[in-house]
Amino acid sequence: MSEFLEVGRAPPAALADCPVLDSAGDAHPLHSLWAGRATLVLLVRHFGCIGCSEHMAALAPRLSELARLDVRVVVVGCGKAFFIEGFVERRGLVGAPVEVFTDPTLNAQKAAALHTGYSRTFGPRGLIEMGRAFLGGHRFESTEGNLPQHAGGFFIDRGGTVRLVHRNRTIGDHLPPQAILDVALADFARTQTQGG
Amino acid sequence: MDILIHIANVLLLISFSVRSMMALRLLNIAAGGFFIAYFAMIDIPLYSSIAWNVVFGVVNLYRVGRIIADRRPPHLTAAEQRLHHLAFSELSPHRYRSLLDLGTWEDGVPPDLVAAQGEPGHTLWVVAQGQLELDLPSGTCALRPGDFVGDGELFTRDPYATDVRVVEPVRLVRWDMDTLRKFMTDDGESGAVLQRCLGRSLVRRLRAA
Repeated sequence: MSEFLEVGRAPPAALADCPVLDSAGDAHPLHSLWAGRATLVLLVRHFGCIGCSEHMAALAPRLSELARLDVRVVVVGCGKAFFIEGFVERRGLVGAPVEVFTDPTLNAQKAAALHTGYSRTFGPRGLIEMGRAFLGGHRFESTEGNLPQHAGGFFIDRGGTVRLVHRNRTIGDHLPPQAILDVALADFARTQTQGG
Repeated sequence: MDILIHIANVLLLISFSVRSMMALRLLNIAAGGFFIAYFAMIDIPLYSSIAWNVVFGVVNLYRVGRIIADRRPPHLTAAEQRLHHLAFSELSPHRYRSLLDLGTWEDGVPPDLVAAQGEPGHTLWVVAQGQLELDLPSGTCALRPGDFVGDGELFTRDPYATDVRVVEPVRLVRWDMDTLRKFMTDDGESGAVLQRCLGRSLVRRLRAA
């Protein structure tokens, strides 16, 4: 395992061992969520974030494709566990092939070295991106988690190697769904050719 | 001060070249702001021009509000969201909402018959919860959440080929086939997506048979 979350290596132990909470408040170490399966882990900002609403809406139409490629999709927020249910319903994810957890301690976000800071949210670029999301029909919800924490995501293949890492620099700097599909397809193809 | 009217007209000019209705209206609102500032700051303010620009601005703001409202995700209950992901995941939430609005929810308990062999096929159902069963030459076939009843008949216009029974309490959504055909014709893109969803269900059932 490496010390830092980076492509081509196993995720750092500090991240893999991080406990995340499900909606019932039960803790699960992050590595248990990706064991043996290709997994996309999306670390979202607070559950009411307008940027994350925009990202989830962009990703939603591709979820069935990811499911067909046998990719597990795990979303980790940073609010209290009781916010999870509302997030799932607001984002239209009831019954979707997505599992939502949270880490209110922010240890997972820190271990993934995600960006933090108000300037990334309320700086000129952040404000323009917020405006874009608003004009796109997304709403500002209440702050359900840590406001300065920024989002990110990573893709782990079936062998436990990180294939994609993205750390959002601003509120609208999302991990592109097509990039996710590209690594998922590559991993699927690799597994098929190796007879896995 | 003349710069204000030049900026306003440049914005107006740009607005003529954009394709997005949202951008066009936003640019018009901004141009209106510069027109108002210009007409207010000249030696003898032109109040009638200011008033007309305010009216244009209000109309454009209202239309921008409508566009944003239309882009908001439609309200879907938990059961509707579940069905969306099960059977219609490729339809956008707005189009799925439109489709749902054309249908009605209904419940069934054993030993209800959803479709009877030989009856004219006028209705299409999708299973949202519970289980149905149909008879095939090779044996019985279970229809589970996300599966359709009448999908073949929607295209062939034949009577139902077999009895479809309720084997455990079910929740279904039903559509009149003519209404559905009109929906698929009127909105070609949604029609194509819906055809894919129905085709997948049909293939799944054929494989199971």
